[in-house]
Amino acid sequence: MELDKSVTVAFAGMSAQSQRLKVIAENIANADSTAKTPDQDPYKRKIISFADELDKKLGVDMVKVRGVSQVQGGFGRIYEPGNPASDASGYVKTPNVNTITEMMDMREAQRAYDADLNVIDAAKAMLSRTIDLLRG
Amino acid sequence: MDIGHIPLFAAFSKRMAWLTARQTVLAENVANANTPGYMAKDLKELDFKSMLASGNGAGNGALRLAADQPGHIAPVANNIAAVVQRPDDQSLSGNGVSLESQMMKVSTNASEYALVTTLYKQNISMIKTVLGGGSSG
Repeated sequence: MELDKSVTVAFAGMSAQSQRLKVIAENIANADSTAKTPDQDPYKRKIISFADELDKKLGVDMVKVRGVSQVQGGFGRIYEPGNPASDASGYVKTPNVNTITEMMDMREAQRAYDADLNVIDAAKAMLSRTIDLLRG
Repeated sequence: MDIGHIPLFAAFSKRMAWLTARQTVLAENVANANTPGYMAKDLKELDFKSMLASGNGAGNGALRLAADQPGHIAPVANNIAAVVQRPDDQSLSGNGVSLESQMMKVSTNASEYALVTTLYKQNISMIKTVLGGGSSG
């Protein structure tokens, strides 16, 4: 059935956005996670990327998570001599996570999720209208 | 008697099929709102004139896929209309979906569907009145 398709696609969008939210939560939670030793890197910011894929059974362009990648480099440095990860001059590498960027990303994910919900609502309304036709 | 043979009702069901197909396309757009390189799609508007020309009498006037690109493949089954790429604005990742305009289209789509079903009901009730089966509906 046609309207089922739009609901299925919207659900795929919602699950993709919630996985994105999970990655954002990981980034924010680890915004201050330093390494154990001076030669190791601290927590690296993760980025999720999406891809569109034709679902051959339904014949629609679904969305899926292409993968989660780590952002290399761009670490910050703070002076904290007591930290086990501090180098010879007392500096510690901090993660390349910018909480403001993550917040922005989070809002966007939320907005897209809401939009998917809206689509499902509209499809449901159309379906109930069709069923109403039977009531004469 | 098949109600689909009445041209008006044939037009209604065609319109409903088109709106449903469009809803799916819009759902694809919204689901792919953050997919890099994805362009927003939309269906071609139903052409009233050609619908009239092809749809009178038998009520099975053919709606064909328009193939305006060399790579377009002819439809297999009951595909509705051409899916045209219509990017409204493009982000840095090459994504051409604007959630606002998609939401606009989704709500227009739903209310147009409501309009068609209301008209359908009204016409059924008119037929019922003529048949003497009461004017409920």
